[in-house]
Amino acid sequence: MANDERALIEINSLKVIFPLDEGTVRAVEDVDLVIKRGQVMGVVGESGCGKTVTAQSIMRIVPDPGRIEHGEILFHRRSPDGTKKEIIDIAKMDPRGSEIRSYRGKEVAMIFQEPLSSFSPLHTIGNQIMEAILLHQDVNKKQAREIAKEMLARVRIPNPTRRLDQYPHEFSGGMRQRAMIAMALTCKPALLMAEEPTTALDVTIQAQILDLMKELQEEFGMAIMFITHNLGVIAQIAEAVAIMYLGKIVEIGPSREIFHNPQHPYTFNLLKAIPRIGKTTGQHLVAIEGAVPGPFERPSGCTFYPRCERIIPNRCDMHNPGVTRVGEGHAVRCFLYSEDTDED
Amino acid sequence: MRAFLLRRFLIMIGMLALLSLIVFIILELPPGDFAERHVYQLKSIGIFVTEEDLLNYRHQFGLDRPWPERYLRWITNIVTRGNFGLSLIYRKPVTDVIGERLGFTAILAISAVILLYGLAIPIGIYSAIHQYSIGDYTFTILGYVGIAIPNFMLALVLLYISVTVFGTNVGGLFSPEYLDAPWSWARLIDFLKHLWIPTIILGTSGTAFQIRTMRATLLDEKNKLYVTVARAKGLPEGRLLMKYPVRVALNPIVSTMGWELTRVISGAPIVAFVLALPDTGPLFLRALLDEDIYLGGSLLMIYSALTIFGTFLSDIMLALLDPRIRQGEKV
Amino acid sequence: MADLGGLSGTGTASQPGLRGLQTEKELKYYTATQAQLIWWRFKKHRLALLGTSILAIFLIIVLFANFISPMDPFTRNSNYIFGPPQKLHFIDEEGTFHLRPFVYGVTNELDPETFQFNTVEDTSQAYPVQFFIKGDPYKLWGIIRTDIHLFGVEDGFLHLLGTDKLGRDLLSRAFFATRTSLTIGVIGMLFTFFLGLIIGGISGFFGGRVDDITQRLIEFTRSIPDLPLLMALAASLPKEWSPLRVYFSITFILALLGWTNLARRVRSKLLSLREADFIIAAKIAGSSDARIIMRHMLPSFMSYIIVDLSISFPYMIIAETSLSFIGLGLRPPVISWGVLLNESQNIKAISQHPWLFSPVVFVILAVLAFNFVGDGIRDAADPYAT
Repeated sequence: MANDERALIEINSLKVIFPLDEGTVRAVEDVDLVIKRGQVMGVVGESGCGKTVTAQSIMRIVPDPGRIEHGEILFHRRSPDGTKKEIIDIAKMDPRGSEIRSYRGKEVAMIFQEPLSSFSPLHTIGNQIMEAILLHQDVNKKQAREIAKEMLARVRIPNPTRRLDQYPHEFSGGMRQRAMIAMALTCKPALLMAEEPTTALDVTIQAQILDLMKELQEEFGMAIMFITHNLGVIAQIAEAVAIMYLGKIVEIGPSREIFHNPQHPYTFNLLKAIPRIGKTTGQHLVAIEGAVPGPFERPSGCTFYPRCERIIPNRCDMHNPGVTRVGEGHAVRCFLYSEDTDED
Repeated sequence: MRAFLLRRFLIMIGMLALLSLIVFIILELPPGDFAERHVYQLKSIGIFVTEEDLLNYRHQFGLDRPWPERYLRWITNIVTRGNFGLSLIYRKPVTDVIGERLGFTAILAISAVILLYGLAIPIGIYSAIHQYSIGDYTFTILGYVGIAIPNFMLALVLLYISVTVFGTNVGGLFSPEYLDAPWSWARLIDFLKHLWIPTIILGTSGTAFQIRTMRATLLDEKNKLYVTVARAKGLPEGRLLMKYPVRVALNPIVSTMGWELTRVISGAPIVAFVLALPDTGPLFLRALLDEDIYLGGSLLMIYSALTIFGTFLSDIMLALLDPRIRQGEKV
Repeated sequence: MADLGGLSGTGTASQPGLRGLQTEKELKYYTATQAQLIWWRFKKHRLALLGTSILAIFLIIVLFANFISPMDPFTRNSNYIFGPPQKLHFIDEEGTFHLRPFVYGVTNELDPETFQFNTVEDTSQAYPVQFFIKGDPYKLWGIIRTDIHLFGVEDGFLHLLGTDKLGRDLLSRAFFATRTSLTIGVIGMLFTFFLGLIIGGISGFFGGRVDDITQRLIEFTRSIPDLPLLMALAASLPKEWSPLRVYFSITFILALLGWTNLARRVRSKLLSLREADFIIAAKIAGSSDARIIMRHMLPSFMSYIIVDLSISFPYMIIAETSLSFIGLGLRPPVISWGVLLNESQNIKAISQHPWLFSPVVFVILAVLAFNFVGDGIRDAADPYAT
């Protein structure tokens, strides 16, 4: 996978831990993930599964006291004309250094769930968007303002000139998320990470924002890492999907494969838990048995075994399943498909 | 903005009116009226007064009128002519007695508030950034102690230390040789040399309190999403901190500025009494102890009016700082 | 990878026992009452525990002041006026160690230069400290007549904090002052509680116009400098009132300015609760207003009220001490911390008889302890507060 010409971000056996007073939380473990240029990758999982921390690692904005224990995050940097190529390991950078700052916001940008709290309440929207432009582009304030205005217009915010001088509280939720997208895209990043960008919005607004993102993705040719717990949203937008559970990717593959041919019992259950219109009435919505274990009581062996219906006794509860290829670009971490373990 | 200011201004006027009513009630509380006390005083220095004289005095001072009329007369005198009445102790108008002393009280209060914020804001930022460091713990403990020690005790302790250890008396606002001297550079410098002790004492508990507020708010703001967003833009940490969370955390600090002024002015009379400062503090105390109601009441009125005005000023500052307040949003 | 395998290996070995324990712990956690949860979190707060211990000692002093004090607070020792604190000795002149500490007697010597009497230890008379010793008679809690004191000396006298201008034992007086000052705090807190609850309750429950007016009133009360107003109010109390009446009046005056925090809290909680589902459910079920407030609303924010009350305590203590210190609050023969400190009002008193200032330690300890405990309860009751 590593020498794929189209690879943009390549994560190899990433492990992120949070040393706390109560014990060490292994938030992300053994994660391998490749995002290609222009690809929309969906990362799905319940809260606490490590999907957010993975994204934060790519930005190196993992909150204290979290840190990358080991692993690589390779970024395949390319100059705008495509002539110069280099590979940088983000995991090795100082999260407070200048090297990472020239990459943050420029090569990779991120948008978040809460569009209101994403903006400082005391600064105008224009000020906050222009800041991103001034940091990474060689322009003066006037030009930056012009770019900001164009971006606002591009995300279809009416009356952009006036909007620039307004404060976040004067924007509606949907408008704020548009402004957030505008801010993230001002420097035309190669990768946009979107963490539940539509969850806090009304359903109609959700659809508009998704459409907008898709449109901009095609226009700018950027990759999107779409983080959500909502498989329905993923189905609309993602080409490939990674399913995470308790810090590990348990299944990864093209969207079609994941939705029509799920292999891991967890993925299987997740899909069953999606409500569908047109199902025979009387059929119950299936919930996944049990609850996600607390951060300090991670089960040994396969982390999913206590909730798994297809558990193999003395195997799943004792050993870590390894990664098994089950199809084209489709891999799963489960003993049902191979006896490989991840222990050496 | 204009609507907000107008609203706050009207509230301030309303508060001042309510305040004057309360002060008036306090003036009327003690048994006996001004005429009786005046007569008693005349008698005590040996002047012969008859019952008729008492009634005359009462009529002369307007004390035989119903209370709303007396209140109106009293407050009109203050507002239109700055006439606060007569001091019984000093036997001259209250304004003459207060005179220059009020200036000292104001200077003291203002410098205490400036010192308080000058110390509290940087220390609060330091403590929040270096949470659980030795410096943070030191300031936290100092803060606890600062809040626990009442002003006047701190004044006494400092006096004791200065006398026993350094052998000088730090009380007062002037050295003896400048006490009655006219203003000059030398006198001003001498004044500043004396000013810092009461300033520190008055500012202590407020500083301790505001350090806690600043630290707590900044710790809270530091982890907010908008900070992460700004970090994700590639903003350097130092600039990030000052532009966003510190700026937001200043709001509660500024919005309580009026209360800080209240706190400082509240502690001022007792501290001034202990340190024997030539300001209004000892005057106020003496007036209360000797039942000089007009002097005491006037000073109470002036102190409270100062703090109400201070609250109004801090409202304006807050509106300047926070667009949401400016535009009448509920935060 | 290797260490990872090792990690999960140990996990497997200890799993069964650990799991059992965890579920038991979990069960205990989930079935605990609100009060238990608060107590568990409170126990983790070390300063709060320290504060609690200090308060426990204060409580013992309040309850047993006559017994713990070596003397009656009004007994005058005419041989030891303005006497400095006596030193406790363990080693005598010959260098022998005594397990039981003792004090020396004192003689007064005239200083030939300053013409002042200085007290000098007379090492020929040693008075060992005795426990459960007979002394001044008293009635414990007004019923039990006895004359046994926790400690003291036979024949001579024991003044560990020195004596005042009338030769009264300062330590005993400080213990009795603790009783007065702390009960003022408690009673003042009760007044505050009722004022805050009623005003905040009316404001929050009815909302609208009533709420507007109360909000302005709170704002007003907060922007008046409290000590000067307290001083003016205290000064207007008639001089001829009995100490008890003055005591209650002062307490009430303190509460008159202290209620705002609590009222704001009650109001904001009530306003947000008005819309809460369980309140609406109770309304639909036909509960009366009073019943809704007392049975449903109040319990849901009781912990906040306790926090606010514990924070208002230090305010009461400092205010009372300040008032009495300048002579506008309690007056002798009542003994409070402020009344004691009243004797060391100026620099002359402090430099000549610095021990008169020692009751300050009691005040600071009490305020610190209440602040610690208040912080502890706040953190325990509200896990999201910083």
